[in-house]
Amino acid sequence: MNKAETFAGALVVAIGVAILFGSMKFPYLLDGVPGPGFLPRWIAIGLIGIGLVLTAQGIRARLVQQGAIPWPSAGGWARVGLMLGALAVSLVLLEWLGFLLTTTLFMAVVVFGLGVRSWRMLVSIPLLAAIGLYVVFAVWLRVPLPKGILSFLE
Amino acid sequence: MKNSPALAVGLTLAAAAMSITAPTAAAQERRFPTRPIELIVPFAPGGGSGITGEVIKKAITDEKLSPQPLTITYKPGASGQVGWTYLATRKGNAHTIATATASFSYGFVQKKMQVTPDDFTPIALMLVDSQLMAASAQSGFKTMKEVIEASKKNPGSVKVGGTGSSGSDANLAAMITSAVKIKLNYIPFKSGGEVNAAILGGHVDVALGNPNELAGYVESGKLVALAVFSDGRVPGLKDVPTMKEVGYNVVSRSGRGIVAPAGLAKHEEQFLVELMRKVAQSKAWAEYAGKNMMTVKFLGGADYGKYLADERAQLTEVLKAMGKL
Amino acid sequence: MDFVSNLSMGFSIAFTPINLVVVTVGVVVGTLIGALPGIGPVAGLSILIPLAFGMDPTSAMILMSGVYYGCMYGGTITSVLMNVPGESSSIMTCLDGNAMARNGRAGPALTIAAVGSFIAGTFSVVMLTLLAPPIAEYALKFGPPEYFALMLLGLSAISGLTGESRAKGYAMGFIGLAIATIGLDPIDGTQRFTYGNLELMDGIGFLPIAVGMFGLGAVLGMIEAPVEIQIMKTTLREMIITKKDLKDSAMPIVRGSLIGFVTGVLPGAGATISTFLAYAAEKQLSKTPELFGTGMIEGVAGPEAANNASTGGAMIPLLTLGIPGSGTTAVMLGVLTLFNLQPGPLLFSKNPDFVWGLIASMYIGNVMLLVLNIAFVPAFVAVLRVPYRVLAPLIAIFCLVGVYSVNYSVLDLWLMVGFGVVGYVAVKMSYPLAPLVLGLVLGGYMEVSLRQSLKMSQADLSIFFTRPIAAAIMAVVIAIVLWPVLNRFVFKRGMKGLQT
Repeated sequence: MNKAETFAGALVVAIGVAILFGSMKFPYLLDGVPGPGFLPRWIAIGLIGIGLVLTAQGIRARLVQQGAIPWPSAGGWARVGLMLGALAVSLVLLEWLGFLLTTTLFMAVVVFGLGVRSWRMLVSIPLLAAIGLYVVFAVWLRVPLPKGILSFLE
Repeated sequence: MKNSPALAVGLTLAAAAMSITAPTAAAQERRFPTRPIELIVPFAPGGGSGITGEVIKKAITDEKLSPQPLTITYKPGASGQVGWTYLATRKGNAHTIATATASFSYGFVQKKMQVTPDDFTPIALMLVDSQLMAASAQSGFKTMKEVIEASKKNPGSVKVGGTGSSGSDANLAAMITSAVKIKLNYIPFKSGGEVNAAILGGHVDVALGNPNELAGYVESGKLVALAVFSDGRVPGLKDVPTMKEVGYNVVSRSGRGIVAPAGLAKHEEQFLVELMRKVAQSKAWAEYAGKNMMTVKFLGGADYGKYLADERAQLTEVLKAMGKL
Repeated sequence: MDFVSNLSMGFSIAFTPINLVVVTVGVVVGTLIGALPGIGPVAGLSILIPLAFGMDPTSAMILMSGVYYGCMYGGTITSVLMNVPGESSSIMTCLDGNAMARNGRAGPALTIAAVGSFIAGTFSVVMLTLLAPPIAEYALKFGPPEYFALMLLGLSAISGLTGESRAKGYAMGFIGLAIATIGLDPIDGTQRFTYGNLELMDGIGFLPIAVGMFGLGAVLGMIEAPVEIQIMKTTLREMIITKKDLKDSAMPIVRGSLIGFVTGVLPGAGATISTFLAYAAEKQLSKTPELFGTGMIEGVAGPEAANNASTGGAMIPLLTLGIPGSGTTAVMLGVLTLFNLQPGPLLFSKNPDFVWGLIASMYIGNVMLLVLNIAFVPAFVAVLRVPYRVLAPLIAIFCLVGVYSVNYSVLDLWLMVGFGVVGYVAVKMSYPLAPLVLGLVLGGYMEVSLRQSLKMSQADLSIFFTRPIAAAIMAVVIAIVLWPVLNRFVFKRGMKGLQT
């Protein structure tokens, strides 16, 4: 038995079951032709069927002709976690701090976390990235990037 | 939601009071628009609403009617409700406005809209449009009578293409169904462009649409115009009979206008109403309406609000009579 | 034949200084817009429309179509270098294009994309020049049943043929379709799986998910490795395309051009589906299908040719029938109408200078794009010399801004991060990403055409099998889906048939 593969298969089944229940409240047929519940129900059936096949393949692991899944080392997990954590914090702060500050901080934290220790790099790269993207997207392409607490600088 | 007019009055008074005590702050607040105005077109690009939006934009740009440019965002889906519901969420944001068609009123009447009319500020009625039914060459239909006979002989055999499942085309189909007592097989498409492709390919037999969406193909002989659903004949389509002339009282009028979210400051609303008045008076606008067989009709602010309320009342009546409510 | 004189008249219009400037601006802006995720051709055009109104209609249209086909070239750049698909039509380029870049072969990937794009783009303009009216008639034969069959073909081809395991491919395809059902029902406006959330009523866009899974997923994959990535450093020799590369790509470019042109003509389906079909075709025909996804140049050449060939195809229904096949051509139609030009059969006879000037400019634009893109390959590849400690967060922020620029929605950004994790884990477990994104892109169209078809036939399923074009496509779909089963039971190959 391959635990990860079995779990993934079971997850597909679970998604299918959830969609099946969710789609029950939409009419399957409407005036004799397929209604809003039609496609979701068939998608759910498809997911459940394929999920069962995948689960079976996971349990009888010899059906899955592949090596072990290449999960990263502890250091790798730490870097992946740092990136995701920094992104999540940035999204929380984005509208309050504004794009320029958030991006600068994000870049500085992640670049530091990935091992850059030169002060010059830690200051210049985040600033250049933030300003460069701001010029392209907000100034040229007129995307209203959040200004946040810097909104007085119009 | 119900007390929002009272709230608006209160806010206006508060703003007025502030303007006495703190003139500089108020002057700053009164600066509008401070950034580009976003016009949401709740239909796919290329359809009637999209072109209306582009003409408004062109008039504003050409005649320099606004200190800030107008940008267009297309948010199609579910007969316009996706776009309008989105607009309603931008409460108090006068920099976002949307084009409104008859489907706007249908959404409320059929209670498909999650928001209420109070979530919007009516800005202006700009045009009145009518609807046309045209048949594909492959269908062999030459007159409205033939369509009616075919449907009587074999109910549901005539396939009718139109834009949206709950907008003006869908309801016109329903109105015809109940007035003439026939069964039509109405098939909704996402945009006028898709309806055109379907009828030119003969996948549907007849199409419903605004005259400007179909008249070009009638002119080039690819489609046959069967009837218009207005009080009188439509300029530019003088040979096409009204449905009344065919013998059935089916009349649909669809106004095209502009709405904004609720909670606008008085000066913002006024700016937008005046901006649209200037657009409606522009030469480009008259040219556009004439070319597309529509009538320019301007109603600003509260007048447009009354027009919309009347339209909802009328629609409720029609739909109740048809048993659709 | 008077089309020679027409075309030479067209060139005399396209070669005026103003129009040369305009076409240059158009293709450069298009390349940039194509390369940036989020800002699509529609948004790009709406920025340029005010500029277009200051021109005469021919120049305006030359500008806009330059942006349109320039975009298809540009989409390649970020797909190859960063695994970030700028448009849905560059998703397939990510698979082998980015793999080539990771093998240090970003140069050949970009070069072959430019060459393939040029050949295909020019081919489609030639076809547009010669065959516009009859091809437009053929496009109209596609009604809802044919579209449904075509979408099904794209989806089953990509789910069943490109992954390591068919079951995993289908699972991802179905999940994509399921995500596409979120929002207002496209036929009757019922809310599905929105739980009263207004932002979800709009449905979930393809971009947050595609950029999350491909772009952010690749970033996470990049930083998990403990050593500096050396292979990204490309030497000059590796940058230059080899004779073998050209030989390997020749047929994929030909096939991609044909597939792209034929699907590009169809309103709605267009560029995206052609890339999926082209990729699936290359993998099927390859002697080494198991190497696809590890940096096969055929997997770049085919789809890239296809998406460019589709642009010329898409101009046909627009110009001859006034039917826009995509958001981009719809904007062009709106602008044409404002200029008092009525697209349709009469456009060719009434406004020959306009039509032929535009067509001629497309030949010129394609040449410019070829030169431009090849000349800048070294500059683009230099991006990869940035150390990953800086490049990884930079790509992450780039993804973030791109996704934000579509709807200005923070919810979309959360989705992107969430699907970044999904993409990262899925790649580890060899669940293919492309079927999910394709299911999401095509799901809405597929449901609409399915339900329209069944309305047309009054719920009779035979409509998909009695119309010749639909029936032919359905036969291919069934063959693809049932092939492994047949393979197993009829040819008695045992369990191996179930896998690759």
